[in-house]
Amino acid sequence: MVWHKITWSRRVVQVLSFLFLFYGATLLNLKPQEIKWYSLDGKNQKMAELLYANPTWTQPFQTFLPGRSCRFAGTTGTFRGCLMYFLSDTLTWRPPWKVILPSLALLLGLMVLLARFWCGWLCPIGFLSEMLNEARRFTGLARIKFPAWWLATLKAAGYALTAALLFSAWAISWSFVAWSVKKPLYLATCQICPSKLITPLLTGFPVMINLQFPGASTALLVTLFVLLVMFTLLYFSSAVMKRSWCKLCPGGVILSFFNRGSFLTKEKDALRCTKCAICADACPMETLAVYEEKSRVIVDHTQCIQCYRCVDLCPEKKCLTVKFLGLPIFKS
Amino acid sequence: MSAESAAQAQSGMITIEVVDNPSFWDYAGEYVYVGIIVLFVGLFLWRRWAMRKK
Repeated sequence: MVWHKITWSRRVVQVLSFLFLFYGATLLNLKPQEIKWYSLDGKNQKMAELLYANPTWTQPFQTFLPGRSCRFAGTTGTFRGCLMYFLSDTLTWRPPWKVILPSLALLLGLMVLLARFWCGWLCPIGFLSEMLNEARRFTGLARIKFPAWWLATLKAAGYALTAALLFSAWAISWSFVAWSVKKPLYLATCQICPSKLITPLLTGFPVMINLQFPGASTALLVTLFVLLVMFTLLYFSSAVMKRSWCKLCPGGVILSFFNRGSFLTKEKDALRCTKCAICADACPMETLAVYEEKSRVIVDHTQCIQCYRCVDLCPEKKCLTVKFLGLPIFKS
Repeated sequence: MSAESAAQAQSGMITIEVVDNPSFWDYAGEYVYVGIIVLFVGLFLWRRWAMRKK
């Protein structure tokens, strides 16, 4: 058996991250965070003001880390609130600067430092998706490769979906929008995210899967439900196709803007490359950026999830190098 | 909130938030976080510019 040190290190980090983000509060005997339910109906429209009453400058660090785990993780998880949750919540409720600024500082810091490192090493949903693919390999099932046009379509759909979700989060704060439209669109990202179904089931809180919105527009509810089912099926297709949901994930789309320019860079020495295509085959996001690049040194691509599988499997010595602020940390 | 501002709040008058024993964060909270945000955005843009031809 060949020892691929980066891949094995990544697996260990992924398992620890999964346990911490999904079961951290239980395992470490931390006090469960208080779950505050609030909705956009007339009765509870002032709840946001209560939620953000008397904020402190360090409150966001005590309650959730933006860009981290799913808010549907019940009381067993730690640091509730993912990147999209933070952005949607901020656009809808417009919380005080005391809430926005610390979260934004932390979020930007993590993105500039690590970009999509979160996707490849820490995201529990991405980890489970890879485990589905490992199960396929174990059972000997053949992998289905995405055709190039399908990958391009998924990428474009990811941008469109992210823009639509952020716009809907902002639009439901407008006073003239009807309550029947506002209610199902509140946390629209969560309503269509596969994590809304997977996380509560894995953390033992199926009650968190709330699909009922009394008084809401039926057409909108059906649309959101169809999207949720479609995206969940796409997620489970990771059993036969690599990381299928990750190619569309809105959180990943936001992080992808920081891939080129973050402190982590992946460099290629084109003179050492023998065009063996192992990197192209190994990539869980099925990008050809590393394989095809001939002139540029830095080969970070928006779809790269910084898993460094290409670096780990590259047979050519020092052909691929991962650097943090110019200092080499991994070499092929 | 001091007793005076609490009384003002109850009477419906304009309330001025009075922080007893203000900490460093009460004085400089927004400057610290805005500074961090500007720093990270600046670093990111500088790195993007520096690697434009690489």
